[in-house]
Order: sequence, then C-alpha cells, then structure tokens
Amino acid sequence: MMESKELIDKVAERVGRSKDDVKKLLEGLIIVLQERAEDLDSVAIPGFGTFEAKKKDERIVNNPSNGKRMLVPPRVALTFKVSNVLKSKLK
Amino acid sequence: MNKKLTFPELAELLSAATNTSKRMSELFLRELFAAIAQSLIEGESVKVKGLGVFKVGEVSSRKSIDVNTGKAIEIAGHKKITFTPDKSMAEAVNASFACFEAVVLDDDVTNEMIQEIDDELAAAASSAEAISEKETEEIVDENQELPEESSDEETVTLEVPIETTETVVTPPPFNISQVENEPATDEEPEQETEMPTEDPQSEPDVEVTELESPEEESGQEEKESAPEESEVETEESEHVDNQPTVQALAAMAQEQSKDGFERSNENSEELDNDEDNYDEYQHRRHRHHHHRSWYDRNRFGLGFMSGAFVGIAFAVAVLFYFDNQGYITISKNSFAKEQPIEEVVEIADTVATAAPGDTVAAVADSAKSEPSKPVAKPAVVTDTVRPGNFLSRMARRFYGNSHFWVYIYEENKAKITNPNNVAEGTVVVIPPAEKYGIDAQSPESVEKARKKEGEVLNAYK
Repeated sequence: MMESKELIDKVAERVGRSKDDVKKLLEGLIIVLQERAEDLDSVAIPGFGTFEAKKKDERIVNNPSNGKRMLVPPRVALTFKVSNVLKSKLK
Repeated sequence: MNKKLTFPELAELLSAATNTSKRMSELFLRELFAAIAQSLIEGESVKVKGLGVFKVGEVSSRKSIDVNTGKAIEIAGHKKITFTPDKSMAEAVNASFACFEAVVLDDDVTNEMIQEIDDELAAAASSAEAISEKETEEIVDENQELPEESSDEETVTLEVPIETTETVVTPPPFNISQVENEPATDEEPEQETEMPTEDPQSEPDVEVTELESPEEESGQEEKESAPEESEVETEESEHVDNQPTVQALAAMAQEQSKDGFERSNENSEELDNDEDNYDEYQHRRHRHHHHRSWYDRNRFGLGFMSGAFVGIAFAVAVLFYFDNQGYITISKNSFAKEQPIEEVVEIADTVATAAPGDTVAAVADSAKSEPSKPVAKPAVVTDTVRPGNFLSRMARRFYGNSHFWVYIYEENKAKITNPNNVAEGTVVVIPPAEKYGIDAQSPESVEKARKKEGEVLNAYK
C-alpha cells in the first residue's frame, strides 16, 4: 500500500517541484474534485478513469445475521470507473 | 450539474484554485495520475489522503458458459481496480442526504404495503394542490371585505398585526425562488389561510407585549397638529416598514407560511434575527428534513409543485391585503387630523386609485430614500480567505454557485488587488444576494456572473 506521503514524494520527483508545492496542488485538486462531485459533475482523466458522483436509490436490505430488514436511505456516492486503457495495461 | 469535465477543464479549475500556471497544473495532474497508475499496474494499492484508496484486487479465473455457443469456457483471472472514497470525501459528497438514517422495517411490512403508501402520498399531494387553489381565492375575498368591516378604531390597530409579522419575522435576504423550493406539506395551506385572518384578533396581547411604537406614533399624530408634510412622512415610513419591496413582501409571505409549518411541527421558536442568513436557511432546511421521514422526501416533486403554486398565490393575496391597509391608514390620517385635508386627500387619492403595482413601486421608491429598518438590518456577513476557502468557494457556500464570486470581488475591490491571488487572512464582506441580483436558480443571473467573471479575469491576464 502506497501512502499519500510516498505518492507526493514520487510526483515531486517527476514534476521537479518541491514536496510542499505538490502537496498544495494535491490539496487543491481534492477540493476541486469535491466541488465537482457536489455538483454531480463527472471528471474524466484520460488514461486513468472517470470520477463521478452518482445518486444511489433507497433500497431494502436483509441483515443476514439477525434476519432484520432495513430500509437504506438514498445517498450520493463518489464513484470511479477505470478507463479501458488502464484496464488493459493491468492484465 | 451533470457536466462532463475534460482534462483541460480540470487543469484550468486547479490552476484557478491553487494560483499556479495552467501549464504547471496540467503537468502535475498528468504526473500524479501516471504515478498512481504505475503503482496500480505494479500491483500496489495507492492511498490518497482526502480522496480515497485505489485498490488492486485479484479476480480468480472462473468457469462460465458462452451465451452464444452454449459451450463451457473459462474466464481468465485478472486484476481489478476498486476505488473507495475517503470518509471525509464521501461525507462531503453525500452532504445533502446526510440527514437520513437507515430504518429497521417491521417484519410484517411487505413490498405491497410500501407501494400502497407511495400511491396514497401521490394522491394526497395532488388533492392538496386543488384545495390550496380554492382556499387562496377565499383569502382574497376576505381581504377585500376587510375595509368595510373595520371602524375607525380598528384602522389604527389594524396596522399592528402587520408590524408584528415584520418584527418577528425578518424578510430573508436569500432569494424567493430558493424559498419556493421548500417542500410543501399538507398542513401548509390550512396554516396559511389562518395566518392573515387570525392576526387582527390576536392583536390585543401583541400590542401589550411588543408593539408600543406604532401606538406611540399614532398617539403623537393625534396630539401634534404639526405641518402636514411631516405627518405624511411618518405615515409613509410606516408603509416602508410594512412593504419594503415587492420581493420582501413575497419573501414575507413565504416566511409566514414557513412559520406556520414550523409551528405545526413544534411550538414556534423566536427566530434569531442576527443569525447568519445562510446558516439560517440551511438550518431550516435541515429541520424540514428531520421532521419528515426520508421516505416522504421522495414526494418532493409533487409537493414542490403545489408548494410553489401556494406560495405565489399567497404572495398575491398578501399584496392585496397590504394595498387595502395602505388605503385605510391614510384615510384614518384624515379622520384624525381634520387639518389641511387637501394634501392628505391628494395622497389618499393617488394611493386609492393607483393600481397595486404602482403603489408598491411608489413605496419602494420611498424605501430607497429612507433606509428601511428590516431590510437593512441583517448584520454584515464576512468571511476570511484561507487555503481551501477561496472566493469561488465562498460564493458556492453563500449563493449556491461559484460563478458569483465576482460579486464578492466587486464588493471588496478595495482589499483585493488580484482576484486570482487573494492574500490569506483577507476578511471579505459577503454582499447580500439582492444587491447584485444573485440568484443561483436563474440561468440569466448565472450567465451574467459568468460574463462578468470573464471581464474581470481578462483584466488580470
């Protein structure tokens, strides 16, 4: 598992900027993605995938351990769909 | 909403949010996702704090049947990427539905019963619309009868109820169309009809508790045989209090209906006037959510239709009501004085003969010259620029659309040298939404803000 810090180090090396700069950019990116997600926009990153906020409908689920049925409320969830390019590289 | 952002658009947004060049943010984005992808290809999961975890999972090979040929085939094992959003991210995205909780169903609840409830709610919503139509017509009728019924004494006290609604309820600065989005309930129409008619009756105790000022004023009027002009002015300022603008009126109507709704749910609380208006709005919304089960919420579509209709019709009814009030108060003036009647009569004439729209417009004019208390009252809203809290984010928070940041910039031009690079810790004043005609619901308003945004940004390129 690669943690955030390690990722920032790697990206800083690739971009040739300080870790602080990269960290700020990453934080900015997260804010931008969050704002877009709140607006239910989708963000496509070529060669990587698409981030999209999707509304999930309410549903009834069974709790297998005690057999109780629950009505799960609707929610908005951030989903990520892997691009085909990355998928084929993965194999 | 539901836009698909491309890579360059994302880079542009990022460069605007972090004050870096577009080239730099593009390079950063490319390298960031390349680094993540590389790690994933190597089979290592990646955790991005604040965003989520990209995990690589193995899918083992499994047997299946070719749908076309019917032959048994084997699907080869492969790797799969799953993304789990961070808790903070998931909560932020789900903020609008956060008030809902999972409910345990009784064992005897069947799917058929749920379907039945659905149908009932739909039927109730449509019948509520029909009822509200009838009832709002009745309100108009009642209001038109009022002037004849009222004696001279009553005309004096009749001002009071309006004042009470003013003092208790501040006209909210947020725009009406948003308010109209409020879900309508079945109780709402009934509450609305009661509001205006009840007011005059409930006046005695209200008078004692809160409203000495109008009383005093009318007392002064009788004592003073001062120049008529000043009389007229006080009279007018009262109107200003009563009818600040058409907008405020409509907002007030909404406010009243909301008040009614709240009262039906719980004993009414005094509204905190100093509260941040946006917060207040959010707060109310939340309360609404809490009071109805989330199940009901699915009926919003229908509820909203009837709610919007009731709101508009009620606003018109209240307009009529106030118009009549205006006539009464001025004719009372002539009774009380019996002095230089000509001028008073003149004014009474203009008010009486002019169409409702005209009188309101005239009053609105005088509202401009004399700062009307309730409208100017809301405390100045400020916010501080921090990393992650830029102008656009404030605009989103306060007005519902980030494009309106230009108006915050416009309001704080003196403090902001470059809107692309606002110093951290700058305290900016958030102008009230009406000042620039900000309305996140109206495409024209957003388009206007966009245009302005382009102009402002071009100046700094």
